Amino acid sequence: MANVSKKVCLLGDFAVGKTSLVRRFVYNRFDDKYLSTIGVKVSRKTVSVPHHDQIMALTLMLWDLAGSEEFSAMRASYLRGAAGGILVCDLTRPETLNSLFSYVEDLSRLNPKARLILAANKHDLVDQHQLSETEIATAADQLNISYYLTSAKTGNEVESLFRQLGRQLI
Amino acid sequence: MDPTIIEAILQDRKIAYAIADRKLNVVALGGEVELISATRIRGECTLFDLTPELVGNEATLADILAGQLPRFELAWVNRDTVDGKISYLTMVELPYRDHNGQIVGIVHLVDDVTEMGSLKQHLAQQRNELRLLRDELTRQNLELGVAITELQELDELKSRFISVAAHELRTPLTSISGYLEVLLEEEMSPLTSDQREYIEIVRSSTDRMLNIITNLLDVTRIEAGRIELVLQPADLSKLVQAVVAEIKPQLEAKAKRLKLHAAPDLPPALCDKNRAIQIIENLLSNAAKYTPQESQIAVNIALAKEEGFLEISVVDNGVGISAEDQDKIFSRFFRSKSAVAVGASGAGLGLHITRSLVELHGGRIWFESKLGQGSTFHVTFPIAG
Repeated sequence: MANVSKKVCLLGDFAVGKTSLVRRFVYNRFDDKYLSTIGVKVSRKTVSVPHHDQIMALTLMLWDLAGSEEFSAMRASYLRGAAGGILVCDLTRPETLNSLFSYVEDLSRLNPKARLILAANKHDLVDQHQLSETEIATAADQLNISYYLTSAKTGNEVESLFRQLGRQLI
Repeated sequence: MDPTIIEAILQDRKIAYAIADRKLNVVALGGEVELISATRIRGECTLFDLTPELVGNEATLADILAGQLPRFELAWVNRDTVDGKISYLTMVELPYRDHNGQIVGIVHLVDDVTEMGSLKQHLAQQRNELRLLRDELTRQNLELGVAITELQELDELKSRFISVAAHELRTPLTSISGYLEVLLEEEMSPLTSDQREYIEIVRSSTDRMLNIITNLLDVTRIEAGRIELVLQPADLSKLVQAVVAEIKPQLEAKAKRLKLHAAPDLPPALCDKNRAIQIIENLLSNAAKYTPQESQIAVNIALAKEEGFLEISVVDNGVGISAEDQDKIFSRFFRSKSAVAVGASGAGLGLHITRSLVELHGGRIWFESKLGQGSTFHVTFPIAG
């Protein structure tokens, strides 16, 4: 089985759940406590992806980047060589959806061919949603990418999100 | 420099290095070597085996090898430690040159910056938590703002309704009251004693209703800020005497005594005479309502302790106000338990209106009271001039 590695960056404002999505996908774990990421944390997970009637082993190198703007200066070095990006927003904080457009600019400037996907996270906090699915769909349409309503807490759509991006990468 | 010294410095400064050839196979390691590898590596390995963070950066490394990029840095790279903590590393990729200056590989430097990274993480954590809290407060504030606006609109609607309803009720009541007066004056025909008694009952009820309606209108005017005072110098003693004269028959009917004491040579107060009379009337009529038969009410007028003010005190030995009710006594539509218990009529607006009118004059109202032992209400008016 052929094996390829692809670098995927998780982008989004602080506390939208980037680290939690990676933790859920890679270790199938979730921790309610918010731990702010500084810099970058790289994790990896290999998934099997169908490709031309074959199954391919795709190792996703997941770059969980700090969401705080004080790390934006060094973001360029983190983004270099990214084949894909997961744009993460928080359904309970509308401003986190608007921010995604600037992350897309940063990533696309360095990696014009990078494939993107949108994760509208914290789907489990139904009572606190400030963003509707229509608004998410509109943003995804504008970026011409697909979107998933994810919950790192319950695991809802997390696997699908990463696998879908994996398929797009090969 | 002696290689041993270099090694000692690298270990002391928690710096490690790896040297890779042009195929990125690691050919040498030095310094604090355990910093370098994310996982334990045995035997031959590539730079990517040592440093997964470089996967995806093949083009960057190729640029360094081609002499097109002098340096590539990854700052604040997180690594999990065996004890479940996070270490922070700075990784730098540099061209490795031979004696002729030819690039023959890559120098991979790793610097342990965990101490500063932990501080930075702590600060970022606090800052982000504060931001989340601020955003939440902003959101709640907005929601409260919307709720307040809705409530204000409802309150305005209610005030408009009360105002319209009161106006509509007052007109026919005034007419009823006028015709009752005509009947009682026997201008058309003499009345039997039964007829007189019944008509007086109707008139008394009509007066009560008119009073309630007037109070409701006053409340809506006060809330809408539509009460304008005509301020002029006035002799408070005379105003009090006028009110006393008006309610005296009511007091005498129940054998209640009223003692009025005014300090000599008091300066005039600056007040709206009609509104001042309304204030005094409310206080005296409350005292009359809530005192038992054969009791005494005292009214004192003197200079207030607060400079520039006159003070009227109305003292009764009536039912008093419980401690529990004292905080609410000036609220709209509030009726104390003791007032309800003695069967006194009222809509719970008198003291609310009184306080608003006193405050419009720039004065104060307060009271002392004990349940079953009576109350003393004080109001102040500014001195004219």
